[in-house]
Amino acid sequence: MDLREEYYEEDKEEYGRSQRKKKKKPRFGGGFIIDEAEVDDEVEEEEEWEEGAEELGIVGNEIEERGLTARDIEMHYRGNTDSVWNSEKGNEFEEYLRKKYGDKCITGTSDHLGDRRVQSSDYITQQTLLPGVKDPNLWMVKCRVGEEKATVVYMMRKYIAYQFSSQPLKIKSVIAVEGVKGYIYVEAYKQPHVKEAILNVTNLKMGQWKQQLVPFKEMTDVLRVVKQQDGLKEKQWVRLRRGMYKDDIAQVDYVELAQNQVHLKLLPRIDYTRPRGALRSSKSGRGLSVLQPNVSSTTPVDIFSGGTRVRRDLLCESGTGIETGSTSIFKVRLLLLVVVAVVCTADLSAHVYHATEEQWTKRLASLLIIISIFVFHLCLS
Amino acid sequence: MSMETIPKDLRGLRACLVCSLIKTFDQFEYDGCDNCDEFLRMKNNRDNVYDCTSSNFDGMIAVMSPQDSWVCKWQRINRFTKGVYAISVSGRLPAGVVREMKSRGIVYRPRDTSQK
Repeated sequence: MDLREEYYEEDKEEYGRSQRKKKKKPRFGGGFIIDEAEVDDEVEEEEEWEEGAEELGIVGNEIEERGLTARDIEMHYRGNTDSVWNSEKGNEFEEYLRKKYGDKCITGTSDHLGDRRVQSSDYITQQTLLPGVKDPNLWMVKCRVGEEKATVVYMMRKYIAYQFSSQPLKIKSVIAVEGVKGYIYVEAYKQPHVKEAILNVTNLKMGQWKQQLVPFKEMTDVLRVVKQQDGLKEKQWVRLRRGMYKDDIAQVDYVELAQNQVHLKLLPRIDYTRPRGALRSSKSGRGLSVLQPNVSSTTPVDIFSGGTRVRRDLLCESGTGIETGSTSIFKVRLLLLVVVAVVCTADLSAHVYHATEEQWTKRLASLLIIISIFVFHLCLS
Repeated sequence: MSMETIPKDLRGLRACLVCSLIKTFDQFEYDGCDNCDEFLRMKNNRDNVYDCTSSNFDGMIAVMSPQDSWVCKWQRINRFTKGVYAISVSGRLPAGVVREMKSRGIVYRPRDTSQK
């Protein structure tokens, strides 16, 4: 039963209604089991219901699909090409082919910069570059651990040194993959080429005898780069691992991947109670004092109580300099109320600190008060 | 193609954001990029070197024969000069440079192939 119904479903898709009726009759009439005919009737009823739907335009779309069929189009093409094939003039045929396929291989001046096709089809065009039978093979060669990159550069130097000699290196490339320790990959047509190239290379001594061939299917995996670094995002909360602001919580202002740097917003660690300027005693000395982590700054402090001066000459377009006892100058952006620090990505532990967000806003609020006092002083002086 | 194109040091290395060629910062400054200096103009211009190269890259490929290497085909560096290239380069060119490239009819294709 089920099978029959499935059959019927397929039928429905393939043929138009009128055709179907014609075809069905011999099939069910000539069948073994008569029950099937009854089932068929039931389905017919269903079809009647569909007729209403048809009027609404849900079913029949044959009319819309009417027009040139694939066959017509092909016949049309064949007709045209036949005349070209038959005309025995070579150059005419060449012109035809050029017209048909020529535009696909435009060679421009900037073509050496790779494919100029649309970005969206990147994945598809990449698939056309999969390794084929005619491409060279990759060989895995044992290398001294930690010397992978140095070896790659060394091999490049060796290639250039031997370039114009009687026996130039026949290898195509040498690859060091990040995270693959103790191995490098050598691309060559034949294994003897690899052996010849790595001969007398100290770092590759261990791999001199045995090289492992990378199977075709795994060749693309060699060049796949997976980054463990969970990408730092703007506005993310991070804690600094080292440096002047060690253990402080900061917010990511923006990330500069190319420079491996992150710009952070954090609260300046300024000990405002420390005597400065005229009030400074010889005991307090110069240089950086040990800055305490920015913990208990929820209560507003007057930054001028310690004698901090405002240096007018440090006023610049984006920030204002506050001289804190000639030790260091913090650039405080009046609008952002933050210190912009440039930190290496490795120095951060990137976790989201939701819990501390509240704490942070509290601190910001306190700083806001401090800054407003500061601005007030600025207006006075 | 000469020894000048090969990184002189393993420290201070940077990769071109357009073609992924690896050299030291100084080499980029003295000689520019061997493939892209026509429009990136890094020669004797520290700012451009800083903008158009990245210190954040993955992997290294010593390219000896770019025309018939599959690795170079896959990386789309088969029409570049011989030298040391990165597998993936993080970071993007500044919008202004991308625009200038476009006006020259060159489509900028980021070299970041890493999967996160």
